[in-house]
Amino acid sequence: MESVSKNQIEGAMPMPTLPHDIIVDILLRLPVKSLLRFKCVCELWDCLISSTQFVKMHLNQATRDVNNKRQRCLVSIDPPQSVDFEADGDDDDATVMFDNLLGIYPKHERMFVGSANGLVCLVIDVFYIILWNPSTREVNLLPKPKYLKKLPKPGKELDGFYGLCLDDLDLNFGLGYDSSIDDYKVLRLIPPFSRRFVKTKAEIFTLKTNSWRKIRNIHPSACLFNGAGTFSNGSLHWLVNHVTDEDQLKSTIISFDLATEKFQEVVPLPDHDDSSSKDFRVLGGCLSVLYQCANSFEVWVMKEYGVKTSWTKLVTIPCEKAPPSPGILDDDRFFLLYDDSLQPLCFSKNDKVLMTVSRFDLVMVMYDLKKDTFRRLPTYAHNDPVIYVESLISPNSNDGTARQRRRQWKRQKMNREERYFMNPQSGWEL
Amino acid sequence: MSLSPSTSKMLSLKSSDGKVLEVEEHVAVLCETIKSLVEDGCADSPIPLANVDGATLGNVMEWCKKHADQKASADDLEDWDAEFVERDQGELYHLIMAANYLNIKGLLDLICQKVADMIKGKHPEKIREIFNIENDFTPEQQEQIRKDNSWAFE
Repeated sequence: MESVSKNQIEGAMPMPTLPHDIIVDILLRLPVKSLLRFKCVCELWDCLISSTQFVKMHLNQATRDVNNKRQRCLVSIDPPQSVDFEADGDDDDATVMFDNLLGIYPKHERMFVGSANGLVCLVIDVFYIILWNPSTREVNLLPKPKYLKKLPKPGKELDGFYGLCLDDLDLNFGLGYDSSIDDYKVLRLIPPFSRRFVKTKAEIFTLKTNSWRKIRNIHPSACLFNGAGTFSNGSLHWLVNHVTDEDQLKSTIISFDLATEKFQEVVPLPDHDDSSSKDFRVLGGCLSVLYQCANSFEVWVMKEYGVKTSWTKLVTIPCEKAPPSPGILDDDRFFLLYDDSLQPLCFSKNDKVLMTVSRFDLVMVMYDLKKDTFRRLPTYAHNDPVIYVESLISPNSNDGTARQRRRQWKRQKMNREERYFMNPQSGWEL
Repeated sequence: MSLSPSTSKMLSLKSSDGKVLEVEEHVAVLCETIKSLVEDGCADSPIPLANVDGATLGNVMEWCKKHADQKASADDLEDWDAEFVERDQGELYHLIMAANYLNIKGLLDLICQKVADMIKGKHPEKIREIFNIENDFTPEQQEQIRKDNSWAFE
């Protein structure tokens, strides 16, 4: 590939000027790293690649193009590590290791709490909340949340919760995009943690204001949320299991509409006999649930958002009662066991699904929907992995650098011109 | 439109260098520009295509013929396309311009993707060469942009 294109490029004459919209069409298909490089080509390309419109078109291109989705997976958080699970093998960027973000070393815990349009939210030691674009490597350490002062220090035993520390409680987060105001929002939920603090509190961060604000009317089941909210269709979602009056375990999806900032119970689950052990996430743009049945796993997807009858069984993956023979971890022989914990992460090219299976570590596998076969990937995941799309979306509210720079240059250029006209002999060298 | 191969009549297309190409109508109408001429009933005489030379027109029609073939499977087309775009830069340039002028989305997508794959990861200097672009930055400006994203140059 490299040698062919090299010959082609070096052998022939340059392309005479292409129309602007074709240049745009070509650039929209490039990975972020190349685009950041190509800002250096000329002023027009720098302006174009930095423009809000191009950034959005580039993101849409990735969502539209089935063969070039530019999806990557964060498989580790300390230090962050991202893999291109669709890479051909000879790709330099197949695995990328990042430096410690902001140089913050966690005393207790760090975790990814969501991803939307190429932005990833991570939380370090409860206090540091970071919006990060792994593709551009831009970082935004969010301002201190409102409900920070009332929180006890990590590692300190909580009042009224014998033996429990703050770290043991689930502080739930969610990151999403509110298209009604074209803004990114982070929701932060603080569960009751003391006798004086008996209700779940919530606050929301909006990127354009770069600030937090408290919100009211929190759903009573918010204290049962487990983990980060799943972002889809302008809302964050949590799957909540609770016991009914008849002592039955019942699951409900509770959503938080990012535009109205209200909690709702409007998203239905499919009718399914086996209500046990579910994994809940977005798969191929649809909400999806995993059911663990006696001899198989079933992956269901809601094809039309909010429509109960659109829940469709995507696949039934059989599992074994016991390892068939030694060598279960061999690359070419991969089986699911009935007690495996499975996470379908995302669709890949040619009807394949990226999944993790928790053995000693999280084993990453590519499952072929058509052939019902597994292929192990050479990487392990060390945390709950996060899928993100490569985008140019900035995690900072005033995506200033490029624009500020150009304004500064324009001023300099004007100064030069002014000086030139005042003193023509001095030329442009001033 | 019900233009099946059996009933398809022939259209003649005239390139910028005066070459006339006889093409089946159901193949030629993959070009939106020609399709609208046919629909408006203006496609009787040889259709003059002032912006496409004979060699390029031949290549474009070869692509259209393959893609008008309803028997070709998606996998087959993909392999065929991959071979079709193995060309030098000059030819690709003419194909892009022709696909743009004749308004053939599928072909334009294909060539744009090919050019994107060719330039991916190249150095800005090389890109200026390929696209014939003048560097209008001062060395300081250039250095500044490089510094903003120095990791992308590693």
